[in-house]
Amino acid sequence: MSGNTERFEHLVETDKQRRFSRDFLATWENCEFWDRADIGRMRQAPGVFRVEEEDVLCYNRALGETHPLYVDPEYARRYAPNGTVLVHPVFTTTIGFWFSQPGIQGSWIRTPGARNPFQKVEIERPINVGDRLTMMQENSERFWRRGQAYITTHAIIYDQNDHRKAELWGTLILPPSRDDVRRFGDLS
Amino acid sequence: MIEPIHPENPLPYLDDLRSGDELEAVVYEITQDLIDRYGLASLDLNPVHMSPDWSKKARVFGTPATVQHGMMSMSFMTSVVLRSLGPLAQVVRVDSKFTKPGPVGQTITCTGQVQDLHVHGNGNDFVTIQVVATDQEGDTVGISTIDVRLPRRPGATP
Repeated sequence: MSGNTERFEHLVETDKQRRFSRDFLATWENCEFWDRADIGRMRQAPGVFRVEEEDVLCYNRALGETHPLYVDPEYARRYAPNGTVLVHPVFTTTIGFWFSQPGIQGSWIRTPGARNPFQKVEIERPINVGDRLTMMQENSERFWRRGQAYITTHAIIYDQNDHRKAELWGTLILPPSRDDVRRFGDLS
Repeated sequence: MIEPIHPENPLPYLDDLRSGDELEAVVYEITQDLIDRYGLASLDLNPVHMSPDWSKKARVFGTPATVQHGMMSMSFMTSVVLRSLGPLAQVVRVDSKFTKPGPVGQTITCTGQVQDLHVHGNGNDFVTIQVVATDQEGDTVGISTIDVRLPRRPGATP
């Protein structure tokens, strides 16, 4: 592990954060590269993301949300539609990163040197604490624009009843090849 | 259809909104602590956000400073809607573009305005809100188009 992650280790608070591959500089060579990415093949991402109360509270608090439906589990038990704290619509980011571990299709979202030009999420059904989510993912598009290498991930999130919960389209501008990423990945 | 379930958490009716209505702004300062907490919450631990030392050398955006996550900007822009319409507002689409990096030290102001009222019936009525994030130089750093499903006032006509 590079020393870069030690600076924020004291903020780690959830089980997922503890188990997550947090050092993006130590794992870049195991991620997909723009010029090698398989385009148009929808695959099941491995694993099941169980939405825990602590995951949701951490996300809501990071954004400074103060409404008790977001940050007070006891209040939410009494007044929220399903009795749990509400999930922020962009919590899908956490889900997407959790599924995109090194070695997995779509893991290019961890690329050092990446830039984020645009993103879209559509929510069909609200995500709730207690949901057990799975994700289908494809690299749906890869293109050059003004000399820059763009790639889009398209993901569909399902719940434990195989109901579609959300659909994501995430685009990044990447260093296009392994050697281009190395210029960023080997900096420490 | 969404029904308010507690008097403390009401939802507005679609019919209460008008094109051009402005939402209360959300203002935040980009600090390394904010970025660190968002990075861990979202599991986006890219060093361009999380490592000041690496960012000084890499200068991915031309600046030696770390920059905020685009997804954090997207989240705050979405929070403009949630804080104005209420936490039970059912956001069904967020479409965001990030037009300028937000380095540590910037203060970002997110302002929202009602664009369109979509009257489809069958509980599928929604409002489209545009949220713009602006830095302290007055430059746009992000734009989001956000659709929110809302109930109609009982007896309302298209």
